[in-house]
Amino acid sequence: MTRSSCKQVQEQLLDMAGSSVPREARALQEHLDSCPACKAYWAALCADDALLRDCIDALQPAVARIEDGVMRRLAQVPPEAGVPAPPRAAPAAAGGAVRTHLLRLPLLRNPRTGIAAAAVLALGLYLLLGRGRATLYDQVMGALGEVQTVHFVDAAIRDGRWAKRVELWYKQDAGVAATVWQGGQVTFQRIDNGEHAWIVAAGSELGQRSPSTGALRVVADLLQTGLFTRDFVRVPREDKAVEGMPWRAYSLSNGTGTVRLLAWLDEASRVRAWEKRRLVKDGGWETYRTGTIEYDVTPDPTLFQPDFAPDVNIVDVDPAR
Amino acid sequence: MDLEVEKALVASCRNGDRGAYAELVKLHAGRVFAICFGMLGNRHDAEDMAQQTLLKGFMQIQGIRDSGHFAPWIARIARNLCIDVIRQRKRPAAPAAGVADPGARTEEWEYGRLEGALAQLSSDYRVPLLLFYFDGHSTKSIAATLGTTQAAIQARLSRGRKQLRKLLKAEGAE
Repeated sequence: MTRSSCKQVQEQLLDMAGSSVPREARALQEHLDSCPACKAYWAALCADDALLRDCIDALQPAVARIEDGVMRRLAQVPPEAGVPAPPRAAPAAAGGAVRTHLLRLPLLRNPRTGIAAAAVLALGLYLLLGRGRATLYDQVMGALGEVQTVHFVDAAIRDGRWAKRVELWYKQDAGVAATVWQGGQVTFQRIDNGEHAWIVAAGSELGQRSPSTGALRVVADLLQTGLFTRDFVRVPREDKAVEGMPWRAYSLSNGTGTVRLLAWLDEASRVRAWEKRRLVKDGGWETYRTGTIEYDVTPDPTLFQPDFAPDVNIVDVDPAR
Repeated sequence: MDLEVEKALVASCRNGDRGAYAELVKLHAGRVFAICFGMLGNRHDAEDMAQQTLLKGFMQIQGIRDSGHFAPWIARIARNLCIDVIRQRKRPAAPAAGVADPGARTEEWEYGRLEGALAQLSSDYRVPLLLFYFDGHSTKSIAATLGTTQAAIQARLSRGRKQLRKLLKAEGAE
């Protein structure tokens, strides 16, 4: 394989990232089959694409906050009056992240208190405003505040195979342990025992230990409960009965209708499963991510004990400094 | 989205229908956020700026010349507001921290590395790349939003991916 032809192939691959190599591009496929460098380059581009998709998915709650913020401000504006400017965040120091003010509220630093407070607040608003029934978000958050254990598995699927898998165990008063696999290898571990949080990436000789951010908050983040503030639509045709228990299906589409999130809730309004589907060229839907959550499985208590390889040096980090 | 529906929504907004503007906000919030994130390289600032953009859009809806072109119009407002912020910063935003914020959740650790790499990309590449994922993978739609050609968008996407690959490789995020 000549260097120039590899360069040409990689230029072509850049145009195809985000989709797949077309069947009619036989010469290109043959090159990929016989050239380890280009094959690795294509695999890396596909991994970048999957990471971008996941990252954009994770940003959907931010879009929901924008919508809510705009609509809240518009609702405050009397007809014919000016629109008040939204509060500007302080400029990010050296481009660093500006955390939302909500997360800085002392009450919400304790995740259980925070989530319970959110549920109580939601219930209060519900009673005060007489809306008739709690919103889907209120129901999901209320249910999450009650759980004792969580076992959660989330898988990103590519070409019918697991490209990435996240597994999380949570036990009230014990903590949370999350592991990420990619390509059959563990790439990342996080443990939070309510006192400390440990983060160790595969292949790294350094791990980090910091004060706990709260195990239940990690669960809420990974379950992306913020998405339930959005306009999910009830879709009875997708309802399931699992082990005799009815699961209600809800659907949320992106603005262009090309991506759909389906979520199933059980009778206690606990999230039990989800699927992310995208529209493919033939007009059908392809599932590219799935998640399942069990609530009554007791985890192995050793999962919450930091037990990393002996050559990993754990460094204490204080995010407040 | 159906152009006629969008035109009707814009027309209703001009008659003071806030419900119609709410529909436009739902349809365009992701796109506006992608542009702000692409311009500013920081999602938290982008969230604030996207809100400001959509509020300014409401205030200035009477000034829209072609009611069928809400997307490029609101994109222009977003870009102008972001340019003001970048000028005020006086210096470009440094890349987001590439290593985990220990308080962040598991996946955020990975996203932090991606954001670190994205922050180092030129906004010429970052904006179309983010729009590609927020906007249903349509280069035609991105071209219309940014007021350029589909070929130009395709070229910027390819170059952006190439640079992003180099940056992620350099950070060891394979």
